[in-house]
Amino acid sequence: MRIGSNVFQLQWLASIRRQQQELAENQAQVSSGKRINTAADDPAGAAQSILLQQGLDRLKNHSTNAETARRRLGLEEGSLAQATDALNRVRELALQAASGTQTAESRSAIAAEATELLHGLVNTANSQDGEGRYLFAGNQVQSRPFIQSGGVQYVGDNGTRNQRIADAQTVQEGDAGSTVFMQIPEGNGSYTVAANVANQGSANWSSATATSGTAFVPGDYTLTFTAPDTWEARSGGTLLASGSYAPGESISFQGATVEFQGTPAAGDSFTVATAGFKDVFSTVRDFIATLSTVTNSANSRADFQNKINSDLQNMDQALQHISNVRSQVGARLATIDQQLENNADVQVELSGSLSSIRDLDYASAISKLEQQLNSLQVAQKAYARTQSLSLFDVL
Amino acid sequence: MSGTVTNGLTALMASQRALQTTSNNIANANTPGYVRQRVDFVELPGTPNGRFTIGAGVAISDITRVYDQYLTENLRSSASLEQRSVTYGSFTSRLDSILGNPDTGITTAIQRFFDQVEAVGRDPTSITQRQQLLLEGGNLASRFQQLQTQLDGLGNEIDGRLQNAASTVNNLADQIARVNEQISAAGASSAPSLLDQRDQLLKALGSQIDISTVNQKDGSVSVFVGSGQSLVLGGHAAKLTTIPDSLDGSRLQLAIDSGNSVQDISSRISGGVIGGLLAFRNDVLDTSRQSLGQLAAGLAAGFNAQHVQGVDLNGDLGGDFFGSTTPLVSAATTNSGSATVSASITDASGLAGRDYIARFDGTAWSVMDRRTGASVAATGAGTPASPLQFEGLSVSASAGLAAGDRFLIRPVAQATSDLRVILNSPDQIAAAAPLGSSASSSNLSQAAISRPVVADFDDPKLLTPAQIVFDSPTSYLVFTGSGADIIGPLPYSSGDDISFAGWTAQVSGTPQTGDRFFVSGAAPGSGDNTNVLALATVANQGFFTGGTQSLQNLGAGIVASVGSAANRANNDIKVQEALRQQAEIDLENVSGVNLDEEAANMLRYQQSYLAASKVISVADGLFQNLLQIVGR
Repeated sequence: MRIGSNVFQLQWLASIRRQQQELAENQAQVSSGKRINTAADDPAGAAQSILLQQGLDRLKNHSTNAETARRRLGLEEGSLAQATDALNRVRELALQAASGTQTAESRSAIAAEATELLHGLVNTANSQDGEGRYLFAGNQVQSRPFIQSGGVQYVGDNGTRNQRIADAQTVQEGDAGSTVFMQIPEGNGSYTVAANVANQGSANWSSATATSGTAFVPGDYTLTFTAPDTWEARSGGTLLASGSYAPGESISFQGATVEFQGTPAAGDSFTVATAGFKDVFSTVRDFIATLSTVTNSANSRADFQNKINSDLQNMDQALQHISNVRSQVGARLATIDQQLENNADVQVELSGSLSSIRDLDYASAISKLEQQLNSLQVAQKAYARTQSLSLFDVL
Repeated sequence: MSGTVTNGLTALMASQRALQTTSNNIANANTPGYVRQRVDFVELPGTPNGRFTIGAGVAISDITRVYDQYLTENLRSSASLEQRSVTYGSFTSRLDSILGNPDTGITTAIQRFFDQVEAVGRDPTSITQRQQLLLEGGNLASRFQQLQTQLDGLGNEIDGRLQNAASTVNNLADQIARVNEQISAAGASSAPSLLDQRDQLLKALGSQIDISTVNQKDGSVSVFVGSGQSLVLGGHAAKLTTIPDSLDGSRLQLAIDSGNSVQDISSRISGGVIGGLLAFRNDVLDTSRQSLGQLAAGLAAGFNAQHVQGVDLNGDLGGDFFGSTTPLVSAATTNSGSATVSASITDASGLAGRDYIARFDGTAWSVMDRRTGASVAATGAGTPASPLQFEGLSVSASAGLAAGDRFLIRPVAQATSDLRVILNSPDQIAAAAPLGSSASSSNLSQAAISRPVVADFDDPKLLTPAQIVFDSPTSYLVFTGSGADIIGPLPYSSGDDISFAGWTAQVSGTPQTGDRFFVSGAAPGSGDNTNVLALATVANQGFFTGGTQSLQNLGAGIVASVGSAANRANNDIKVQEALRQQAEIDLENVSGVNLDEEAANMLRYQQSYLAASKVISVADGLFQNLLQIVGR
């Protein structure tokens, strides 16, 4: 076949250009360390690396969210521990005060300590996180939630905040003050027992429980001792139950079982009612008020005993309630730790995938570079040789 | 005797001509477009002389251009396609470097914005974090606008290059017409150099625009472009020109001006620089601009839709965070009616990232994709009362339509410039859920109320404080204030939905008679982050194409589609380059000069020249001998 003289040059030029282009591409990758410098290098890989990068960013956000929630829950846990300590001390004081050996002076000393503990409790309930936000204000994080003026008012709301710690998981990062300190069931949780202030006898209730096998029927009931050894229970005038009584015996009606000590006077009455909520501060304040009860007669001692029994019941409810909140906080902290670990694992995995898609395999890139340089040299030599051949040289 | 001298002379002459031709071939070995020439010898007929006829020597019958029309045209068309792919590829690569960097592209900017949304979620009452979110929103918007500016810059550059290419084409067409004239004037004896020159001009023309040629009997070549519009006819050349698009005055189209009419031939051109420019604009640039606009419009709409579901630090329902966009509608300059058409986006998630041409045929509308011409299904009559609806858009025309009127609808052409943060103060960021609920502290029971869920954001009393009061454990009343708007008593059992003033809540447990529950708008200064948590997922949730494609997916998709266009274009350049090289080599192998061959020819003709001289010298010797003999 006939070959035009310029064909040698054309072919050589084409080959050199192609090789130089490949060399330049490879060099760009080696110098940036990345296999994908623009999407044209690997369109599918680029899209995938974008989505992986976004996954990593989200993961980072979720982990930061989790750390924030963990910090706040840690603070909450500390505050709840303080509140529990204070309440336990108040309960000890109540048991101490309940013993018959106390004098008016010793009770007023107890009252002084209880008042201090109440102040401490309010301060604990007004705890702030490091950024000046109130922990127990619901969502009204910028204003002091518990205001003490006589009684303690809650001015926050009952909102709670969640933080997203994984794509499909959020964790509650706090509890509203209303839930923690205010909405605590009173009495035994289902009903309360209170003595009529006009009672004349020495009867006082010593325990109030649910009748075994029966739930308390919600309602307000009046238990009246029609005689020192008989009783009847009425609701709004309707007689529901009646029976006989001896000191130390229990009286059961409508699912409530109340044990009494002492001897009632005929006409003495007690109110048994569905339990509502009693905030922890009222419970402590009630106890302080109870301490000032004069106990100079069998009847007034019974009155004191009735009140201190209610106070102790309410304190137990409060301790139980706060302990429940604490265990929820603990569970959330455990969830966060678990999720942070998961996030760390996923992060390692995603980073690995991202690197394998986007980053350069240096070993193969460098050996390719060597190869390209070699073949470029060979092409140059070959051209020099072919161009030196000409018939005119021998003429 | 004299016959021998004459024969020698003809051989001498022929060899000389052949040597001249060879030397011309050698001289032009490197001249682009030179077609080598070959000498054809023919023996001269002798005069019959009795029983014999003795030849009368040699003559040169022709000096042939070793020309192959097929190979020449093949080179021209492959060079045309190469120029197209090089132009297309270089623009696509530039677009790829603007949009396609996975680290600096639009998706990174979106992610940064949403990182800050998360930061607000961690500390919703922090003015600093909220301020930062407004700033990041502004950064995101300006990133979109920068990209838009760069893409628009490419569009303007294409307009400029189209103008340049049109004048190059005109210049070449004029030259071809002049050469045509010279060739047809010279007839069959026209110089080979003229033919070479014309082929070179045609090749240069083909690099600008795809052409077809027809050889005419008078030796001239007619050149056609587009769908058969004549660019050169004999000695006459038409003009290519650029005109504003009849539907979209912001861009230039290529047209041919034949003297009495100007015709837009843009859609008919596929080759050369012009073909590459138009194809890039149509296939890649427009699509990228539309996708970018779609992303901006979707981002604004999606974020706004969630933002208005929250309340801000002042206790007010959230407003729009980003500005929203309106479609751009332009009427064709050829419309005979006077109607104007307006369009609005009714559902940003229905946007498909394309432009439309709506045509009124006198009774009904038809809508088609501007780029592909594919028909788009639309409902409605196109009147304000019954607007034309398709792909998230609502379009209506005023009175004065004429049959055949066409309108270009570009839904997201302004989306990036409309994307800006319109909240002006950080307290207006609606981070909190709109409603809160609580139980009265004097309730007898421990029944609890759930957080109210909003069913209707337009209810005027949505945020008005309301009370639920149980008038018995199994029935309740709901009212605002101290008894306004009262509903009930309604029967109740635990967990039932209680709906009022656009919200729904549930009370669980056993309420007692007289128990109260309060529902009210989030108080000012709320540290709730419910709505921020929802905002943080806007970019990752399904949004477009029926809720299957998220904003971030679309963003990654833009990068990938530009990337694969650039990738394909780069491969295409390699292929077209190789094809053009092969065509060049094929032609060179036939029409190019081989110096070794010429060297051999030179020797051959030199020897035959020497031999012919010897013949004359021998004839002369014979003659001298004869004279001597006769002279004695």
